[in-house]
Amino acid sequence: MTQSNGYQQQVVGDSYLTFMMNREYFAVHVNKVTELMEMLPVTGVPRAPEYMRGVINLRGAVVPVIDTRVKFSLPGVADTIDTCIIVLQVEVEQELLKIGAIVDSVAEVIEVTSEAIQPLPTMGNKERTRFIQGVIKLDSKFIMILDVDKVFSNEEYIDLKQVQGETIQ
Amino acid sequence: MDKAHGKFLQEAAELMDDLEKAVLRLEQAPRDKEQVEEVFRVMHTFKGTAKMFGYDHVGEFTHHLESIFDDIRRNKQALSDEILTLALRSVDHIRALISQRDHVPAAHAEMLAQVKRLTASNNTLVKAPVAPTAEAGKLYLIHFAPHADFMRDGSNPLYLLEDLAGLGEIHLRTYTDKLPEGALNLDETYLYWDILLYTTRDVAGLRSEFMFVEDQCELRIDEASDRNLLQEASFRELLFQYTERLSCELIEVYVEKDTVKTADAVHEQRPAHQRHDSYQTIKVTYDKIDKLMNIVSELVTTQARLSLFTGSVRNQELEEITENVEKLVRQLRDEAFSISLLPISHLSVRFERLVRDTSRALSKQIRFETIGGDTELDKKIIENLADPMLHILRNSMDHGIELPDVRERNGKDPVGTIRLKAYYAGTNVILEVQDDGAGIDKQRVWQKALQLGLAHATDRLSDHEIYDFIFHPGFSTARQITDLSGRGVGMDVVKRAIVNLRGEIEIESVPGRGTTIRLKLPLSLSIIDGLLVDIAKAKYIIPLSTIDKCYAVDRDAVCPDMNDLIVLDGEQVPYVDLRSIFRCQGEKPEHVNLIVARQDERKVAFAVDRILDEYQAVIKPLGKIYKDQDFASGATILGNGAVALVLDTNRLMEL
Amino acid sequence: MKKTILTVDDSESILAVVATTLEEEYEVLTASDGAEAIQKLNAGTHVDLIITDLNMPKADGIQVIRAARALQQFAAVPILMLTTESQMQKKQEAKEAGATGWIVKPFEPENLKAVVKKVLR
Repeated sequence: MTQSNGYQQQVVGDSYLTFMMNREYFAVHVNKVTELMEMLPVTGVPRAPEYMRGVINLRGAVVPVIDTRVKFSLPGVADTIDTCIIVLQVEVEQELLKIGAIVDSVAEVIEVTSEAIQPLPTMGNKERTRFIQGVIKLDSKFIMILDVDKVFSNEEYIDLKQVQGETIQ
Repeated sequence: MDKAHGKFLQEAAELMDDLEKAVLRLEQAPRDKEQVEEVFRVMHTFKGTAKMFGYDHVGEFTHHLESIFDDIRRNKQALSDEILTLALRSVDHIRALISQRDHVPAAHAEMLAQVKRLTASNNTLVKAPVAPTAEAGKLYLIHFAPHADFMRDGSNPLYLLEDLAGLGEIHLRTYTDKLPEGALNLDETYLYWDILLYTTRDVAGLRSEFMFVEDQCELRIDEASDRNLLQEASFRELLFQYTERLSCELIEVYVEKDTVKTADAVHEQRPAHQRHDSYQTIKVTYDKIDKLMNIVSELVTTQARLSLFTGSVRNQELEEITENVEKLVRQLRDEAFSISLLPISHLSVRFERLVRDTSRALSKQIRFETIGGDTELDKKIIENLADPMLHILRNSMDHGIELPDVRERNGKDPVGTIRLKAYYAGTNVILEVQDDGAGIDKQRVWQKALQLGLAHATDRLSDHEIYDFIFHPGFSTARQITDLSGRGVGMDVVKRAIVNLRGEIEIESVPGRGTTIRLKLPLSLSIIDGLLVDIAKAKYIIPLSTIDKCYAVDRDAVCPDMNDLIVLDGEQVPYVDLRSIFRCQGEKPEHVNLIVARQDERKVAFAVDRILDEYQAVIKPLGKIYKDQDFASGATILGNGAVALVLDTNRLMEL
Repeated sequence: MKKTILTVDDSESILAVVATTLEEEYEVLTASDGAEAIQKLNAGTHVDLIITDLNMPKADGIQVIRAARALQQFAAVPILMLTTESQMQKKQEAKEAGATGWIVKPFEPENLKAVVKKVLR
C-alpha cells in the first residue's frame, strides 16, 4: 500500500486532476486522488450537514461522500451522466481518510511546472483563500488548485464567489 | 533500514512485555533458576538489538541491568525485592527511552545510577550470597519426550537416561501411551518420560546433558524442590498412587500439605497451560488479520447477493450450489473470526503489575488471581477494555480491600484477594472482578444520591438500583480523595466505555464480604445480529441484543402532537418517532412498527415504517467525519450492495 | 551464481538488517532460532556461509555450530557468530565448537559486508 504524501510537490512538472463545477475549473494534486468513480447510489445519514450527502459502498468499504456543490454554496442541480465521485485521501486530525467528492464532471490530468502556478495574492482576505493552494493559468482559463485537506476536513461552507473574488484578479 | 527500524520498535515493545512478564514470574518463584535465565536472556537480546539501532544509551542502561541478573545467575548476588522493583521500573524507563529516540528524559541519569548501584561488583554492601553450596542438591522435574525420529542419527534415549542416573538419585516414569497398536517401527521412538532427579548439578548443567538432542525432543527442566523428596515414604506413596503426568504443581502442593491426598487436589486444579509445543503457533501481524477479515466480510456480502439472485432465478442446481457456498462462507467467517480473538490473559500481566505496585503504595496486601484467562474476546474489545478494567481494579484496591490490620480485626485473612473471572455465556463473555473487601456502604451511596438530587427520600429502590447511582457522573463516595481513584470521575467513564463496546455493567456487593463488578460483553464488535427496518424508504439495522419486543400499531397511535408516551401491554412507554428525528419527508404508512429497546431499567419504543427481516450485519465504521452522528454506530453492506446504517439505540434514546 | 548465506537470530530486526545489507550480493536465508536453523541444515539446504547469533531460545548458537560441524556437508563451511563484546567465555566455547570468526554487535553494515566478502573470498 502506498500512502502518497506531499513530499514530491517540489518536483518540476506536477500532475493535477482537473474537474468542473458550475462551469468553472478546479484542480487537485493527483497524489491526493485514489480513484474516480461513476456516480453510485448514496445512502443518506440523517441529521448530518447538508453537504454531507451520505455514504457509498466502495468495494466493501463504507466511504463518506461530500456534495461539493453544496459545500461551495453553489446552486444545486440534479446528477447527470457526467456526475462523478473523486475519491480523495484526506488528512483529518492526523489521520488519512478516504472521502468521496461529488463533482459535475472530470476534465483531464494536466502536468504543470511550478512556475506556471501563480501564488495567491498576498493581499486580501486570507481567511477566504486558505482552501486554495494556488491558481494555474492555462490558455485563458483560471484553474484553482484546492487544498483538499483544508476543504474537506472541516464543517464550514465555502462561498466560492468570494474566494474567486480574492484569488483571480 | 527503515523497515528494520520499524521491526525493531515492535520487537522492543514485545521484549519489554516479555521482560515485565518474566520479572513478575520471577517474583512469584524467586528461586526458579530458569526464570532468572529468562530475565537475563531477554535483557541480553534486547541490549544487542538496541545498540544495533543506535540506541546506545538504552543499550548501556540495559547492560548494567543485565549485569545485576548475571550476578544473580552466577550466585554472586541474592535476588531482592529492591532488584525486582527496580527491574520493573526499568522496563517502564526503557519503554520511555524507546518512545523518544532523540530525547533523553531527565530521570535517565538517576535510573542509571540506581541500576549501577545494585550491581554486585560495585556494591560491597550486598549480603554474602545465599547460593546453594555445591554440596546441597536439588530435586528437578524433567519432562523428556524424544521426537519419533530421535534415534535416526544415532542418539539413544536410554544412554541419556543412564547418564542422568549417574548424576544423582533418580525416579523414572515411562509413558507408553504413544505405542502404536500394530507393528513397531524399530527406528522410531514412542516412549517418553518424566524424570525426578536429585542432583547437585544446576539447570544449565542438566541442560548440557541434552545439548546435542535438544532439537530432537521436547524438554523441560523445572526445579521442583530443595528437599530430596525421593527419600520420603509419603512422597513415594504419592508417586505410586498418582498415575497422571507429573507436574511441579503436584510437588508444590505435596510440599505444602505433605499428605497423600495431594493427588486429588492437584487433579482438580491442574492448569491447562503446560503444553510446550513450539510449532503450535505462528505469529501474524494484526494488519494481515484485518485484511483477511475485510475480505471475509466482503465475501459474506457477496454471498448475500448471490442468495438474493438465486432466489429470483429458480434453478435447482444453482440453489444447491448457493446453499453450499452459504455454508462454507459461514464456516470461513467463523474460523477467520476466531483468529482475531485474543485471550483475556493478554491483559492480566498489566493487571498483575498494577495490583503489585498499587497494593504496595496503599500498604495493603493483595493477591490477584485470574480464572478463565483463556476466555477469548475480539482484539478490539480487549484493547478498549484495558482502561476501564484498570479503573475497576484500582477502585477495588482503594475502596474495597481493607488495610491488613482492619481485616485481621474483622477475622479476615490479612491478605485480600481480587479475582478476575472470565467465562462464556451464550454469545457473550462475562468478566467479573471480585474482591473480598469491605463491600459498598449502601447507606452512604443512598445519602449521596439524595444529596446530588438523583433520588427522593420517599423513593423505594432495589439494592441494584441504588448501586447503579455509582455510575452517575460526579459520583464518588470515598470519604478521602486519594490519588488513586477518588476524584469523582470514574465509574461513569467506565460505564460509558463498556456501553460503547455494546456491553453492560452491574454491581453486586455484600457488606463486609466484598464487591463484584460484572461486565457482560459481546464476543465481537464486527458482526451483529440485527433487524432490518425501513424508515422512509431508507434501510437501517437495529441490533437484536437491545430489542425487547416488537409491535404493529396504527400510524395515528404515533402522533407527535400527543405526549410522547404510548401504552403497550398495559404499560406506559416513551416512544421516539424515527421518521421525525431523522427529519424525513413524506407520509407515514398506514401501519407502523414499534420496536421496544431496553437499556438497564429504561424502555423506549422506536417507531419505524416496517420491519423487513432479520439480518446478520458485518459492521463497518462510518468514519470520523460522521462523529457527530453517533446514533449510527456504523454501517453495513446489504445483499444488493446498498449501504444501511446500524443504529445505536442507547444513543437514539438521548436524542 | 549468487552464494547463499544462512542468518540465524531470534531478533527479527537484526535479521532484517543482515538481510537488507547482504541480499544485493547474496542469497540470504533466515532462521529465527537455533532449532529452525538446525532443521534447515539437517534438511540439507545448500549454504555457503552461516551467520549465527549466540544467545537464542530453543537451541543456541553453539548448538547450531555443533550441528553444522556434525554434518559432512557443512564441515568446511565458514561460520560467523554475532556476539556482544562481553561474551568472552561464549566466544571461546564457539571457537572450540568450530566457529570461523565473529562479528561484534552493534556492527556497521559496511563492516559486515567486508567481513563476509573476506570469509567467502
